[in-house]
Amino acid sequence: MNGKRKSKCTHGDDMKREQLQLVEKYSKAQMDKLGLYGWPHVKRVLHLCVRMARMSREKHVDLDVLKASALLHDIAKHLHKKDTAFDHGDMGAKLAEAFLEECRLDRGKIDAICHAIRAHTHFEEPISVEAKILHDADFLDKLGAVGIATVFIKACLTNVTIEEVLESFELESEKRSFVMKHIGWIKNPHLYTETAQNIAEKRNNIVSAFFGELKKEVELKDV
Amino acid sequence: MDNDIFEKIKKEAESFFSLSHHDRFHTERVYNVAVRIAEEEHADVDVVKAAALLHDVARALEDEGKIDDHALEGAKKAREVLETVDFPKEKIPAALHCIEVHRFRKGMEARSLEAKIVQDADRLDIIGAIGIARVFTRGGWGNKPIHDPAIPPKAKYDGRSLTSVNHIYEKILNVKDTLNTKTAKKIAKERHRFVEHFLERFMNEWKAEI
Repeated sequence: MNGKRKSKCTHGDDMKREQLQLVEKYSKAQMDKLGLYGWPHVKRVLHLCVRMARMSREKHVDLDVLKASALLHDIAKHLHKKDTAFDHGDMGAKLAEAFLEECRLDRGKIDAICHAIRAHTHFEEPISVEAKILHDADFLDKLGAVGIATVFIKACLTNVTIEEVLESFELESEKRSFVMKHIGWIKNPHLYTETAQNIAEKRNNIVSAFFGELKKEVELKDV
Repeated sequence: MDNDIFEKIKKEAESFFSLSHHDRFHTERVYNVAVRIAEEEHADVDVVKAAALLHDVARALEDEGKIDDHALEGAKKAREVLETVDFPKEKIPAALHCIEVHRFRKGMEARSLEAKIVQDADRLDIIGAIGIARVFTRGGWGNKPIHDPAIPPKAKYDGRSLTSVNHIYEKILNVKDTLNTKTAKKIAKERHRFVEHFLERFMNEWKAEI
């Protein structure tokens, strides 16, 4: 980070456009360390958050907090090491706090952003409406057509075949493989907001249609 | 023809496949579809079976960059296999022709009904839900971006789509127009429609449109 004396953000109630741009730039740099799929995920979650805030019946959603936490929610994910108690929500909140303090963002906003980041991995229970929306938007990105794409990328990385994915979808399995875990999320989404539940329903339709079609094709029912 | 001989061919074919199971499962699907089409179209089922089982035996070599064209190389290996298992000599050239011309990208002409069927069966595995699943499993291997709105699809498929979504546009959506047999065209209709449906949903989700 450059120049500690030079404030990156100004004091005030609302974040300015430049301030959000700095957050975005910082986030992208962290997400790119995760590989090709990190930054596009963050952008989808960001857009979904904004849309959900508009759809929500809640009167007061702080869009600054929501956007900043959406941008920053996975910044610590690239630091994750296998088989450790590492929580990327907790670590992400620590990194975000340091960055946002340097930006001299409002203390209240910083705390609200950090709460949302911690809550998206259940390090804390989501209490604020922004934390609930972020959690749900992040979860919704595991579902639907994009979720199917992710399942097969994960299948490929762990050498699981298409037929095995289909079987995992049809059977309740105790195995908690990389792929099974994702399929579990798709089948039993854990969501806090009504808005997200409605969106999840729609995303489930394409998943059911996909696996129905896949079964038909694999079993030659369409031949 | 005796089923034993095809079991032997299958076993030989599997020895060529790489450690990932994808080639084996792909071959099995192509085999199953090809046999159905062959029966429907009154083709020589023995030739179709042998060719379907062996059509991708050189695929792994091409993926590893050791050879250029897995269809031509595959036919060579297939000849050895078919001779070893005592596949009827008079049918070997017909089976090899199927393998030589099966490849999508080269767009080679299939001269026999059997070759047309193997091409079709191979191509039916590119579309539908299977096709979508394969795009992302292949994309995953190459660590390819899923989608990037800044990269438009190319007008012509060149085997190197830059994103998985572009692969759908450049290759998968064009498959239905390259099929030979009536039976395959009929199967392709619904599979093609599903790909379009999936793509539409995918794009909406990508843009967070609900």
